[in-house]
Amino acid sequence: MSPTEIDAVIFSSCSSDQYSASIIAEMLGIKPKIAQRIDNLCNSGTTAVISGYGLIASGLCKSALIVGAESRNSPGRTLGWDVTRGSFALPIYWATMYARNHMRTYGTTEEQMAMVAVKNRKNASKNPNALYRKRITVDEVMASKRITYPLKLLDCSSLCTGASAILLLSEVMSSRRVENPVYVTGIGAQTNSASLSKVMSDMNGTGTAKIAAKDAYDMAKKTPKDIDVAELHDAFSIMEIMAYEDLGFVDRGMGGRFVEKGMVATNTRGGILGCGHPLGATGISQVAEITAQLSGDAGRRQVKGCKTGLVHNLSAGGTSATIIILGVD
Amino acid sequence: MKGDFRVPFCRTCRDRVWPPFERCPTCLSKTIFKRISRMGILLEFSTSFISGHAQDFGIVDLEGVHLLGSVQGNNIFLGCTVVMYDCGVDENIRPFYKFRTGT
Ligand SMILES: [Zn+2]
Repeated sequence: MSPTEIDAVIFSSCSSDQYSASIIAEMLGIKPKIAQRIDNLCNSGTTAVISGYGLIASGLCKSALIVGAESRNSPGRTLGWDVTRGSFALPIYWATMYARNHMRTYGTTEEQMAMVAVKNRKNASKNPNALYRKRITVDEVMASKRITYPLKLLDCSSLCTGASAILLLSEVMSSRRVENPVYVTGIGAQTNSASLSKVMSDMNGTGTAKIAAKDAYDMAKKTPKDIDVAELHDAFSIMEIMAYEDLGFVDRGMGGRFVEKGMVATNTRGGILGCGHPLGATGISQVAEITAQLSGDAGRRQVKGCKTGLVHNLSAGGTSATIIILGVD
Repeated sequence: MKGDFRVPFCRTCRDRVWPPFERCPTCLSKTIFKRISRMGILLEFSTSFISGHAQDFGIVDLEGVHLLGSVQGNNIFLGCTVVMYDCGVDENIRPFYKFRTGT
């Protein structure tokens, strides 16, 4: 495919760089109909994918190049506007509140959280693009530096510099160009607030993810049982445990035990814990991983026989969420 | 800078507006800042070691206003009554809210 055939360039980033989508287009020799930048904090990437989907579904475009990039010192690392967080502005504080709530309410243990980090680092060890490819043990997670109670250093992802890109084509165009296309079959997205204050009144799961998941399952005509492989927003280990529940893989409160069983292949690229978190690029990396898995192109980390995959991407303590379901049929 | 904790209320429908804004999200009328009770309920709490020493913090409900603040006291438990004894804006222009247990 030549650059001249690309109708839209969508740039996902929390950076404030001016006119960045148009600059990317020029640097790549593309003269798109539409060039735009999307910023939605940590779920910018999947928000950009939805924008591309909308442009193609409306008939305005036949193809969209969706690029995410972030530098480690991105302004997206905190949300200065949110005065409801007081001096506890860093994401670790809301993650700690979620973790304490889960431990108190459901008996989830620090070891179960550690197992999420161990699994995702193991997966990352098979991903040449992951930042943290060294395997770790539960003991190492438990012995890593205490940041809060109960979160240790290895329960937390790291901001990093990174980039990712996908090419989204119309169904007609993909049937001519791609041998085994992967389809976007379901989309759900929900924003309940920007401030953490609305989340604080109910820490029992992520309300936005539950709504977005239902919409995505309905659109794709799938249920949680149909999901073979999933990329989950594991910015902190507790978030993956909560995602199991919000997505309906298990009943509320059973997420901790689910990680011990590992019934669905999750975060096969290493997740955010294994790959690092280049904010605006993360959601696009997640979509790229599920696409690779469903195409059979995931190399050493290929999940055999997977047909349906899911992407779960959150922002700012779960104030907004995107769920995308992909499939090969 | 030492603060005075006030919350905006809608001049028309009297709704409390939190996070603060000069207009009411329901009817778009102007808001006016008023003092509310500094006594609240601790909804969740834990301990941070980021500053190099143990610091308790948590989610406080002040008459429906939810915020994150530091918590001091010997007997901190879920649902305990806490009082905002200090608030203000720090050198990074971040607001801070400090609570202690008791009434
Ligand atoms: Zn009003």
